[in-house]
Amino acid sequence: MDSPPPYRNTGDGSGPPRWVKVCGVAALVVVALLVVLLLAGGGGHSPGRHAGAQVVPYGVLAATLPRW
Amino acid sequence: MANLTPRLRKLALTAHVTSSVGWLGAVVVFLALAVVAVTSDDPETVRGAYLVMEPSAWLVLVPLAFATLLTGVIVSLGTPWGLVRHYWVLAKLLISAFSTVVLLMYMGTFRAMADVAADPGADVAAVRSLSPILHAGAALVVLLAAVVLSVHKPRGTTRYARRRSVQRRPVP
Repeated sequence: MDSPPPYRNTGDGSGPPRWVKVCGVAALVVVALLVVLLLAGGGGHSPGRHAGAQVVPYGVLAATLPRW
Repeated sequence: MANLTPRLRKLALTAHVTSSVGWLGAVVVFLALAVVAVTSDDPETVRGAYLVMEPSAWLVLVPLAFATLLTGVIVSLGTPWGLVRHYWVLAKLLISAFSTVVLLMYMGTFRAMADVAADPGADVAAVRSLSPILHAGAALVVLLAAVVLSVHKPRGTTRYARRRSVQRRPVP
Protein backbone atom coordinates (compact mmCIF):
# COMPACT_ATOMS: atom_id res chain seq x y z
CA MET A 1 0.00 0.00 0.00
CA ASP A 2 3.06 2.21 0.10
CA SER A 3 3.09 3.13 -3.59
CA PRO A 4 -0.38 2.41 -4.86
CA PRO A 5 -1.50 2.66 -8.44
CA PRO A 6 -4.52 4.95 -8.37
CA TYR A 7 -6.71 2.51 -10.31
CA ARG A 8 -6.49 -0.85 -11.93
CA ASN A 9 -9.51 -1.38 -14.12
CA THR A 10 -11.15 -4.75 -14.31
CA GLY A 11 -11.00 -4.60 -18.09
CA ASP A 12 -14.42 -5.02 -19.64
CA GLY A 13 -16.20 -3.15 -16.86
CA SER A 14 -18.90 -5.83 -16.73
CA GLY A 15 -18.79 -6.31 -12.96
CA PRO A 16 -16.70 -7.72 -10.16
CA PRO A 17 -13.77 -10.01 -11.03
CA ARG A 18 -14.09 -13.75 -10.51
CA TRP A 19 -12.21 -13.83 -7.20
CA VAL A 20 -14.76 -11.41 -5.71
CA LYS A 21 -17.69 -13.54 -6.90
CA VAL A 22 -16.14 -16.79 -5.61
CA CYS A 23 -15.20 -15.32 -2.23
CA GLY A 24 -18.57 -13.60 -1.93
CA VAL A 25 -20.49 -16.82 -2.55
CA ALA A 26 -18.23 -18.71 -0.12
CA ALA A 27 -18.75 -16.06 2.56
CA LEU A 28 -22.53 -16.14 2.06
CA VAL A 29 -22.56 -19.93 2.39
CA VAL A 30 -20.52 -19.78 5.60
CA VAL A 31 -22.73 -17.04 7.09
CA ALA A 32 -25.88 -18.98 6.12
CA LEU A 33 -24.47 -22.12 7.78
CA LEU A 34 -23.67 -20.16 10.94
CA VAL A 35 -27.19 -18.69 11.03
CA VAL A 36 -28.70 -22.16 10.62
CA LEU A 37 -26.46 -23.52 13.39
CA LEU A 38 -27.40 -20.65 15.70
CA LEU A 39 -31.11 -21.09 15.01
CA ALA A 40 -30.86 -24.86 15.43
CA GLY A 41 -29.16 -24.32 18.77
CA GLY A 42 -32.03 -22.27 20.12
CA GLY A 43 -30.98 -18.92 18.77
CA GLY A 44 -28.59 -16.30 20.05
CA HIS A 45 -24.87 -16.43 20.71
CA SER A 46 -25.15 -16.35 24.44
CA PRO A 47 -22.18 -17.04 26.72
CA GLY A 48 -23.77 -20.15 28.18
CA ARG A 49 -23.91 -21.65 24.72
CA HIS A 50 -20.19 -22.36 24.79
CA ALA A 51 -19.38 -22.73 28.45
CA GLY A 52 -18.42 -26.31 29.11
CA ALA A 53 -19.38 -27.40 25.62
CA GLN A 54 -17.90 -30.76 24.71
CA VAL A 55 -17.98 -31.16 20.94
CA VAL A 56 -15.59 -34.08 21.16
CA PRO A 57 -15.38 -36.19 24.32
CA TYR A 58 -12.29 -35.19 26.27
CA GLY A 59 -11.15 -38.79 26.53
CA VAL A 60 -10.84 -38.98 22.75
CA LEU A 61 -8.68 -35.88 22.66
CA ALA A 62 -6.59 -36.86 25.65
CA ALA A 63 -5.62 -40.11 24.00
CA THR A 64 -4.28 -38.40 20.91
CA LEU A 65 -2.86 -35.04 22.00
CA PRO A 66 0.39 -34.31 23.88
CA ARG A 67 0.53 -33.83 27.65
CA TRP A 68 1.26 -30.39 29.12
CA MET B 1 -10.17 12.75 2.85
CA ALA B 2 -7.03 14.32 1.39
CA ASN B 3 -4.03 12.11 0.72
CA LEU B 4 -1.57 11.80 3.58
CA THR B 5 1.94 13.14 3.24
CA PRO B 6 4.55 10.42 2.56
CA ARG B 7 5.79 10.60 6.15
CA LEU B 8 2.29 10.32 7.64
CA ARG B 9 1.43 7.55 5.20
CA LYS B 10 4.44 5.51 6.34
CA LEU B 11 3.56 6.15 9.98
CA ALA B 12 -0.05 5.07 9.47
CA LEU B 13 0.98 2.05 7.41
CA THR B 14 3.51 0.99 10.06
CA ALA B 15 0.82 1.29 12.74
CA HIS B 16 -1.62 -0.71 10.61
CA VAL B 17 0.83 -3.53 9.85
CA THR B 18 1.95 -3.66 13.49
CA SER B 19 -1.58 -3.84 14.88
CA SER B 20 -2.95 -6.28 12.32
CA VAL B 21 0.00 -8.68 12.50
CA GLY B 22 -0.04 -8.29 16.28
CA TRP B 23 -3.73 -9.25 16.28
CA LEU B 24 -2.92 -12.34 14.22
CA GLY B 25 -0.10 -13.29 16.61
CA ALA B 26 -2.34 -12.80 19.63
CA VAL B 27 -4.93 -15.10 18.07
CA VAL B 28 -2.22 -17.77 17.60
CA VAL B 29 -1.34 -17.46 21.31
CA PHE B 30 -5.03 -17.81 22.23
CA LEU B 31 -5.27 -20.89 20.06
CA ALA B 32 -2.27 -22.40 21.87
CA LEU B 33 -3.80 -21.48 25.22
CA ALA B 34 -7.11 -23.06 24.21
CA VAL B 35 -5.36 -26.28 23.15
CA VAL B 36 -3.46 -26.42 26.45
CA ALA B 37 -6.74 -25.89 28.34
CA VAL B 38 -8.37 -28.83 26.59
CA THR B 39 -5.43 -31.23 26.71
CA SER B 40 -3.72 -30.56 30.04
CA ASP B 41 -3.94 -33.16 32.78
CA ASP B 42 -3.40 -30.57 35.50
CA PRO B 43 -6.74 -29.13 36.78
CA GLU B 44 -5.04 -25.91 37.91
CA THR B 45 -3.57 -25.39 34.44
CA VAL B 46 -7.01 -25.95 32.88
CA ARG B 47 -8.73 -23.50 35.24
CA GLY B 48 -5.89 -20.99 34.92
CA ALA B 49 -6.09 -21.03 31.14
CA TYR B 50 -9.79 -20.08 31.11
CA LEU B 51 -9.30 -17.53 33.88
CA VAL B 52 -6.57 -15.71 31.98
CA MET B 53 -8.42 -15.62 28.64
CA GLU B 54 -10.92 -12.87 29.45
CA PRO B 55 -8.49 -10.24 30.84
CA SER B 56 -5.98 -11.05 28.12
CA ALA B 57 -8.64 -10.59 25.47
CA TRP B 58 -9.67 -7.20 26.90
CA LEU B 59 -6.04 -6.07 27.17
CA VAL B 60 -4.67 -7.46 23.90
CA LEU B 61 -7.25 -8.74 21.38
CA VAL B 62 -9.82 -5.94 21.67
CA PRO B 63 -7.31 -3.03 21.48
CA LEU B 64 -5.49 -4.65 18.55
CA ALA B 65 -8.78 -5.26 16.73
CA PHE B 66 -9.85 -1.63 17.06
CA ALA B 67 -6.34 -0.41 16.20
CA THR B 68 -6.39 -2.55 13.06
CA LEU B 69 -9.79 -1.21 12.04
CA LEU B 70 -8.92 2.43 12.75
CA THR B 71 -5.47 2.44 11.13
CA GLY B 72 -6.83 0.53 8.14
CA VAL B 73 -9.50 3.17 7.56
CA ILE B 74 -6.91 5.97 7.95
CA VAL B 75 -4.42 4.35 5.55
CA SER B 76 -7.04 3.61 2.89
CA LEU B 77 -8.75 6.99 3.06
CA GLY B 78 -5.41 8.80 3.13
CA THR B 79 -4.11 7.18 -0.07
CA PRO B 80 -5.42 6.85 -3.63
CA TRP B 81 -6.49 3.28 -2.77
CA GLY B 82 -9.58 4.61 -1.03
CA LEU B 83 -11.87 2.71 1.31
CA VAL B 84 -14.45 1.46 -1.20
CA ARG B 85 -12.65 1.78 -4.53
CA HIS B 86 -10.87 -1.57 -4.65
CA TYR B 87 -12.49 -4.88 -3.79
CA TRP B 88 -9.49 -6.12 -1.81
CA VAL B 89 -9.55 -3.06 0.47
CA LEU B 90 -13.31 -3.40 0.91
CA ALA B 91 -12.91 -7.12 1.68
CA LYS B 92 -10.29 -6.35 4.33
CA LEU B 93 -12.56 -3.74 5.89
CA LEU B 94 -15.42 -6.25 6.08
CA ILE B 95 -13.12 -8.92 7.55
CA SER B 96 -11.81 -6.54 10.23
CA ALA B 97 -15.25 -5.19 11.12
CA PHE B 98 -16.86 -8.66 11.21
CA SER B 99 -14.02 -10.10 13.31
CA THR B 100 -14.19 -7.20 15.77
CA VAL B 101 -17.96 -7.58 16.21
CA VAL B 102 -17.67 -11.35 16.76
CA LEU B 103 -14.84 -10.76 19.24
CA LEU B 104 -16.94 -8.30 21.24
CA MET B 105 -19.86 -10.76 21.23
CA TYR B 106 -17.49 -13.51 22.39
CA MET B 107 -16.26 -11.51 25.40
CA GLY B 108 -19.37 -12.68 27.25
CA THR B 109 -18.38 -16.27 26.55
CA PHE B 110 -14.89 -15.61 27.93
CA ARG B 111 -16.56 -14.27 31.10
CA ALA B 112 -18.86 -17.30 31.38
CA MET B 113 -15.97 -19.73 30.96
CA ALA B 114 -13.93 -17.83 33.56
CA ASP B 115 -16.85 -18.00 36.01
CA VAL B 116 -17.08 -21.77 35.60
CA ALA B 117 -13.29 -22.11 35.95
CA ALA B 118 -13.31 -20.01 39.14
CA ASP B 119 -15.97 -22.19 40.75
CA PRO B 120 -14.15 -24.73 42.96
CA GLY B 121 -17.23 -26.92 42.95
CA ALA B 122 -17.21 -27.27 39.18
CA ASP B 123 -15.70 -30.45 37.83
CA VAL B 124 -12.69 -29.90 35.56
CA ALA B 125 -14.56 -31.70 32.75
CA ALA B 126 -17.24 -29.00 32.93
CA VAL B 127 -14.55 -26.32 32.78
CA ARG B 128 -13.04 -27.59 29.54
CA SER B 129 -14.47 -26.18 26.32
CA LEU B 130 -13.62 -26.58 22.67
CA SER B 131 -15.27 -23.26 21.86
CA PRO B 132 -12.09 -21.14 22.13
CA ILE B 133 -10.28 -23.53 19.78
CA LEU B 134 -13.06 -23.27 17.20
CA HIS B 135 -13.28 -19.48 17.45
CA ALA B 136 -9.52 -18.86 17.51
CA GLY B 137 -9.11 -21.25 14.56
CA ALA B 138 -11.78 -19.42 12.57
CA ALA B 139 -10.26 -16.05 13.49
CA LEU B 140 -6.86 -17.28 12.33
CA VAL B 141 -8.29 -18.27 8.94
CA VAL B 142 -10.04 -14.94 8.28
CA LEU B 143 -7.10 -12.85 9.52
CA LEU B 144 -4.71 -14.86 7.33
CA ALA B 145 -7.05 -14.17 4.42
CA ALA B 146 -6.68 -10.45 5.17
CA VAL B 147 -2.88 -10.81 5.11
CA VAL B 148 -3.05 -12.60 1.75
CA LEU B 149 -5.24 -9.80 0.36
CA SER B 150 -2.76 -7.19 1.61
CA VAL B 151 0.21 -8.91 0.01
CA HIS B 152 -1.36 -9.84 -3.34
CA LYS B 153 -3.76 -6.88 -3.76
CA PRO B 154 -5.94 -8.72 -6.32
CA ARG B 155 -7.26 -6.58 -9.15
CA GLY B 156 -10.74 -5.21 -9.37
CA THR B 157 -12.34 -1.82 -8.80
CA THR B 158 -15.82 -1.31 -7.47
CA ARG B 159 -18.72 0.20 -9.38
CA TYR B 160 -18.29 3.36 -7.28
CA ALA B 161 -14.65 3.72 -8.38
CA ARG B 162 -15.50 3.16 -12.05
CA ARG B 163 -18.27 5.75 -11.85
CA ARG B 164 -15.90 8.27 -10.23
CA SER B 165 -13.29 7.50 -12.87
CA VAL B 166 -15.76 8.27 -15.67
CA GLN B 167 -16.92 11.48 -13.98
CA ARG B 168 -13.33 12.74 -13.68
CA ARG B 169 -12.49 11.95 -17.31
CA PRO B 170 -12.03 15.23 -19.20
CA VAL B 171 -14.64 16.04 -21.82
CA PRO B 172 -13.02 16.02 -25.31
